[in-house]
Amino acid sequence: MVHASRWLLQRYRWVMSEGYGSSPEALGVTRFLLCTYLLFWGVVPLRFLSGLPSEFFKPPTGPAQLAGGFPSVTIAVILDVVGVALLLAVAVGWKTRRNSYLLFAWALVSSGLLFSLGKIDHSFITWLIVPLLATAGWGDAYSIDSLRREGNRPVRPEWPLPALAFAIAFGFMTAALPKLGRGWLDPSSQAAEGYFREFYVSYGRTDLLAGVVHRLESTLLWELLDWWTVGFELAVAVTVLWPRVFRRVLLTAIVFHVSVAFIMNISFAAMMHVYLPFIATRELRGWLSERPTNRSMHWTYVMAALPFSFATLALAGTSGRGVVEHYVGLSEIAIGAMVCVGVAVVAFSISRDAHDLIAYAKSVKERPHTLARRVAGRPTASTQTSNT
Amino acid sequence: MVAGPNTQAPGWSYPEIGVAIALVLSGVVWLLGVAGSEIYPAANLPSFGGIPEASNGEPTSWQVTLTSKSGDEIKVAHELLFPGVPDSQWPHLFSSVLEHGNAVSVQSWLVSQAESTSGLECSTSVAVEQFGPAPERRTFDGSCE
Repeated sequence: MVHASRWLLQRYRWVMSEGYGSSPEALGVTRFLLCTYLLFWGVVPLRFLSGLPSEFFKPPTGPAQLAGGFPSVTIAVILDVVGVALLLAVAVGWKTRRNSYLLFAWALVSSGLLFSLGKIDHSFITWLIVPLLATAGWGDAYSIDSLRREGNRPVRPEWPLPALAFAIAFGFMTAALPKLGRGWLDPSSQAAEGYFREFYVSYGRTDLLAGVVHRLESTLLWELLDWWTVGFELAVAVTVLWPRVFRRVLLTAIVFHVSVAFIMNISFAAMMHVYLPFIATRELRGWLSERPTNRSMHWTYVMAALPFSFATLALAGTSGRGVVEHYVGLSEIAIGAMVCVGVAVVAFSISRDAHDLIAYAKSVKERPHTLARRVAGRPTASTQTSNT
Repeated sequence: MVAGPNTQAPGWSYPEIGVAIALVLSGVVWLLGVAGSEIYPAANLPSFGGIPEASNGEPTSWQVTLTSKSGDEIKVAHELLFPGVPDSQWPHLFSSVLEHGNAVSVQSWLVSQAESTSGLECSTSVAVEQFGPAPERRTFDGSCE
């Protein structure tokens, strides 16, 4: 028992200090994709709250309790505009760290007001990523901050990414254990089927493959789905102490969420971005290119992010209208503009690194001559310059 | 060189301690909620993947019906009734309507929503019906009354 506890603590400390290596590029891609998603689909406009009777106001523990009721139209619109402005600033990487912390504070207030209707759901984990990855340095690449920076990249702490991994694992644990305790694995009942039928009939979730699955009568298949769900959720919770395995399980999570979206029309598009920093890592870079240059490194992360973008777009349709569409109604134009901004930021970053690469290549080419001069005891060009 | 689990510094850093405390506290709060504690009831727990029920039971659904002056009945789809409200919040909104139906502000809000959604200028009554394991029905006076 003592030995197991000691091993657990050692493992925890190792995971916290260096178990989940990431890179500024992976974090930068995550930042841009997450903020774009939240802008167009993920953030629910708060304006509708202002029309609700005060009897419906049941705030959860948090800042919403201070409000005493739903916000007025003016306050709700101001909150929506502030949220959009902060998301835009973080997406393009302008004063990223400060604006990310402000965005998280804004999310605490707006989510609290939204959850005052009665349901507190998993969507808040999407916001937890903001302060954690801001601390990890998600504004250090593909950002206006990185273009304006002079000198080397600052050294960032390693602990935020493992902390996010533990939060994800905890979330899945709270999903799996009640299922285990309440009979999801009991072969006499098919819980996933029960949920599916309820969503289909009560919520009108009949899109994508729901109509096909509605005709499925096989008890065995539904029971297997129950076991697969609980097994998968437990796997995420348990493997957090083994980062390599955890990353592979998260890859499976993408398949899981897409399946749920197609069958039950429940969008977990936001979660895609929570997983992205664990998958687009130095390890992935190593798989795709044995000797990566800076240029290939950029494309590695951009290419790794593309499937996430497609999956997000596929799932976003089931998420409902976002805050931008609510006010502007020109989502396609707005999305186009954001994509242009993103491409421009990436292009600038690549051109900057290409410039560094050319300088490095020149220095390598000149190195033999420098060595030859040193061997001959002559002063080098650099020492001549420093002497003068 | 890849560092192994035995290579960390002897002392615990503040982040290591902070995240460990956050995890333990979250676990305690969650267990209190699951145990049905009044300190932190399960109703206030974030549902990550749902607090599931193991049954193939009858699903809960709702129907809102308006009656016009001429006696015609018009049914309104509930997803149209609350524009802007996320899907996950509908059940709670209907629960609130049924729970606080005696309040004048709730009645006037519901009637106004139902009439504007259905296109009726005024109705004689608006009925909210909940089907499923806990069936319930409430009828409110429309704006013609």
